[in-house]
Amino acid sequence: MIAIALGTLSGTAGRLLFLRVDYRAYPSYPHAYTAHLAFGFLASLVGAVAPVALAAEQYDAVTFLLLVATQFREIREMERNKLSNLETIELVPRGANYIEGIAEVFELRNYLIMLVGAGVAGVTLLWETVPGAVSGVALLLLASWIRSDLRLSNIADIQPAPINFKGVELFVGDVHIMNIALRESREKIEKYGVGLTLTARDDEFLGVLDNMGQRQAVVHDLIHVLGNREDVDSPELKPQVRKDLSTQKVGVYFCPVDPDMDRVLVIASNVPVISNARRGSGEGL
Amino acid sequence: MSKVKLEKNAVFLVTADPTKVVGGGVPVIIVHNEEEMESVAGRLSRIMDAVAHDLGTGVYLVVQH
Repeated sequence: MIAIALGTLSGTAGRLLFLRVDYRAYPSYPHAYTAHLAFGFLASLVGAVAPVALAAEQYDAVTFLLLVATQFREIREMERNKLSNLETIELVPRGANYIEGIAEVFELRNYLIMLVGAGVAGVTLLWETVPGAVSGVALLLLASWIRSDLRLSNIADIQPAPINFKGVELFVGDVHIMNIALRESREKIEKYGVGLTLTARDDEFLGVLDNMGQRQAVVHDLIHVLGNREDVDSPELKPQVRKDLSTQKVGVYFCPVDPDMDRVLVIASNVPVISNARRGSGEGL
Repeated sequence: MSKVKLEKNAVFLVTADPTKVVGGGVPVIIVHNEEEMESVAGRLSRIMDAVAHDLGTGVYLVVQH
């Protein structure tokens, strides 16, 4: 009994810990937490019951694990549907890759929680309460280490770059972005535009910066936090990401409401590397 | 589906020099001078939620992105 209680408690505590609302403000409503906390509680409960059931030689308890795994897949479905439905009204959408990444993380966290619950219950069963509680802390630390992702600053060197025009052509640093005919638009862009260049730290990360989903995630996060000057009738202010073919440097152009470069750099550095944008390094060929 | 790739749609050509264009699939607006070209292309791009691009030959192309 203590094993189940301790396992469930540490699992649920873990779910609460992972459910931190960060600068991306997602999930953004108490209702969303409720759903995830409830799922986290059930996941850790089932995880915690598993070793106890096995110790009692109740092997059919395994079927419950399978049942719960199906529910986790539904969490992924739920997050994916919700975010995809919101995409159509976003001026700067997250992009399908980013959404898939978020949905995947929500599913995987529940597996982590279930394993924490099972681990703590197992340890408690074998060596009593105190080692059980210690293992809870240790497993949660391990789980948060597994959880930590690559960030954009891990794979690319992010530098501020000046917005400039050569005639009617807009450049960020020396990366060409687009052609802007109207003087009025050029003046607006010079006033509001902010530029960054991203240089891959290694050749194996070039593919990540080429991935349209990754690029969309970068501009989405920047605009999501710093605000967007763009409106539906001013598409020239829409964020753009382009690459210089000779240097492979990627230029990011956007028009935030808050152009504070320190914040821009912090946000850009923390953009997650989308898991399905990663490519193999070609090692072992 | 989210639009990650840009879909482009040319909606108008604006020029002060009618010899540079012929009638085609895109409406062509002839104006008197560069100043008028700037103002007409500007209004068009606001009306159509589009961006005006300079083709470098005295012709502006208004494109919906």
